[in-house]
Amino acid sequence: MSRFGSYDASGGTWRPREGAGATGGGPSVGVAFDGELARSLARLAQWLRIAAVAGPSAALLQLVAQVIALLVRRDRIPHSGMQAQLLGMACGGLIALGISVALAVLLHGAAGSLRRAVAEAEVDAPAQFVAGVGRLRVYFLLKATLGTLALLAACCLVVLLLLLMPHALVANPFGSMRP
Amino acid sequence: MRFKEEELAALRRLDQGALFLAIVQFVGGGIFAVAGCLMAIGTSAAFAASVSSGVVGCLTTVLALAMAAVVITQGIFLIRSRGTLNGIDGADPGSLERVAAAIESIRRYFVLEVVIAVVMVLLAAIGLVGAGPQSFGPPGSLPIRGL
Repeated sequence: MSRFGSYDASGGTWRPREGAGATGGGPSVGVAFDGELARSLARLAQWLRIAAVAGPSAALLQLVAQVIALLVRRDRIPHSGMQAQLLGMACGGLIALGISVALAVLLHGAAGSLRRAVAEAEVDAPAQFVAGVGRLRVYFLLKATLGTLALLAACCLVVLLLLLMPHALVANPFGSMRP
Repeated sequence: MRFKEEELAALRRLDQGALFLAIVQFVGGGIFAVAGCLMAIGTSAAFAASVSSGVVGCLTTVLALAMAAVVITQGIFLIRSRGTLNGIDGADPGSLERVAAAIESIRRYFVLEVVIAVVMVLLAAIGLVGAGPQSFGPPGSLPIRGL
């Protein structure tokens, strides 16, 4: 039983605790965050935290791997081309890292809000629930917008590559692409 | 008393965001699948060039197809959560169970998000292996030099 009342899972009903309620000047009571809902919220918060760590870590490792791969091949690249590629890779990697860090901050905030919503001692559990769900929504929208932009950029790149060197791209995508 | 109106409104807004992301996931998954098929076609040519670039091509193809499957499954989880949240009513006796089911679907989406992060690290590692001295054919045949 939370400080606002209890949820009867067998009857599917919410019983507010005596003196708590939206009326009468007490704390605003929304939903009972206990039972299966509380467990689901706690598990979601846990995975949000894991995803918040995994995203930026993967972006950082990718950036490091790309730079190492470029340095390994440096003897095959002209000096000016090497500098341009390193610069482009660093810029692209840092942008990707920044985006993943921003998404991770949103996820971490959502996880914190949802964790507080299921905490027994939390007074404004419904407000924390709304805040957590709101952050999750912003994450979804941001990710969908970035995904749309990435898809458009990928389409433009493929069209450009097909126009510039169609036979090299289709014939041997893992080997020499020099026409 | 079950859900207050602001909580229902927040869940409905989440529902819209999930739909938008699910559409993007399906399109992205489709592109990954097409790219994986194209890579599979090019793998034989890569094997003809050198064994190591062929192996890199095979691994990249498998990972691209796996990414397609994971991204599309993520979209399915989002659509499932949306189906659970859609039309939710505060007076519905089963609304708490429905929200719990939707949250469980969203949790599965984030489990796959972690899987994607691991796959991306693997792709980067394969790129690192592929950058070895024998992986790109004879000297001077760097793929991006054509640009």
